[in-house]
Amino acid sequence: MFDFLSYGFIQQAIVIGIALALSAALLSPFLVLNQQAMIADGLAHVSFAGIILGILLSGEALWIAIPFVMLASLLIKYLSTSKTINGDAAIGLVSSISFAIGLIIVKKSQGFNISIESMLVGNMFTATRSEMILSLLILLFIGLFVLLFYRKLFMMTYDLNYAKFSKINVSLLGYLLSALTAFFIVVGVRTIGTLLISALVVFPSVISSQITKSFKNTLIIGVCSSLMIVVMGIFIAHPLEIPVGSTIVVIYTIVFLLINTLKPLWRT
Amino acid sequence: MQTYSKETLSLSNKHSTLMIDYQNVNVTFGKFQALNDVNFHLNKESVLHIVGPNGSGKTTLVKTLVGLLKPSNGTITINAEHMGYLPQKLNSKTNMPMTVREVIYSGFKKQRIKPTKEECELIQKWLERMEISHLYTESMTHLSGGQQQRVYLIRALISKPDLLILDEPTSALDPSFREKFYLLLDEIHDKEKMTIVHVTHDLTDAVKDNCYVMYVDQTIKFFGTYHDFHEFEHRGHHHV
Repeated sequence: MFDFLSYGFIQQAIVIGIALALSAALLSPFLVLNQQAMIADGLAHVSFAGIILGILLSGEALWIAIPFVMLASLLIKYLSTSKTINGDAAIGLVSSISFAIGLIIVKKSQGFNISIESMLVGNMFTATRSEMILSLLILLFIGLFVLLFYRKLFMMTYDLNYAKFSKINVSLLGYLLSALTAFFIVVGVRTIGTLLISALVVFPSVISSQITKSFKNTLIIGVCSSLMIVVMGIFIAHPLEIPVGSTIVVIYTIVFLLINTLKPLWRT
Repeated sequence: MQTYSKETLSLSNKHSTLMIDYQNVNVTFGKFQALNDVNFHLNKESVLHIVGPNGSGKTTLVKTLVGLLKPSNGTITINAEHMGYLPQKLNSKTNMPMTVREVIYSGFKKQRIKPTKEECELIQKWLERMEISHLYTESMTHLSGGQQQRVYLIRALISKPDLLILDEPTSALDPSFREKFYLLLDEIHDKEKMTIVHVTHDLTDAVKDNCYVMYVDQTIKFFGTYHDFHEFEHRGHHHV
């Protein structure tokens, strides 16, 4: 039944899936519970333009896409903290401009031989070895970031003013969080897809906060549930020949609905 | 000691008897002047009550005191080793999963991934003092406004600050606990030798004769003892 596990590309997809799921779940509470859930979605749109530019300008798209999306994330952070416009408006502005530019470049470029659909939905089974290494690297960076700054990030998430009062460098940590989110999005877009990558960030906290009262457990349950769901998604998607990203999102939704249906029962 | 000014932030003598020193402090937001030429100083272990009408700049003054707002001009010197702060607007994120214990623990100066046994006991002791010990592992979202305010007050007190700043701390408390709250504050002040700055709308609950009172309306209209404040009040300058 599990013969397909002997294939190298499947093993690689599982490693990438686990690394991305863990990275997203670690970022999730600090973004979702701080009303920044849409930043992942916005940056996914930005990464569309970044990857297209990368493909056109260099042999390795990620070398252009990663700095491009990181810069865009810093711009979003700067615009939303400069009080010129709201955070969600800043995300909408930067992402729609980037997406529009990406589409114009695709239309006007001669010999652009990558299908838009493959970029929108991604494909974990065609990922390269360098993408696997980047996925593991991003997990390492995000893991260290959360481990080292967990208390500070928690304070920033629940009470920004109190964090400032406590002399936490909220600006630097906010920019670091944005940059790491951008790094994760670019790596994840190629495998999970532009349209679905934000689900990996949004669902873990949305699901775990239904179950637990504590912030720390929200993080832990989010990480564990994401790990299981992503692996399950790969195992279901491959034999059925359906996109992995879509399968993962459908499983997340089923789990969310199940928890919400069963919640009143275990409370009584 | 911390000195906030438009350009500087420095440390200096911790043996001084002076806790707070404001010199020619102005705060402007665009063309609006929120605070105009504020000058005062407060010695260590004093209690200062700040009163004034709505929109008079009381919260702006507190924000400059805790370092959330830099003055447009002037110098602020704070001679505190550690400050405790209870803001007026409490966290209002209704869907935030966090327990009472997690919120109080964030008030400690040094925080580990997991609180020590001693730290948990200290939190429990404070919860008992505030009569909410049964809420130790409860979610903040399940608490009433008054219970939340008590939790945030413990967060401000847990690391034994030498300067405690309270911005309308009793606004969400029910009247029966309000009285207990001020008795508790008196006890803390006497025991811990804390300097307390307290912004309030309702002066009658809070004041003892040896306290200072400041009346703010964009600038300091009165600063002195409670006894003198009575005279100021009777001269018809305002009603609190």
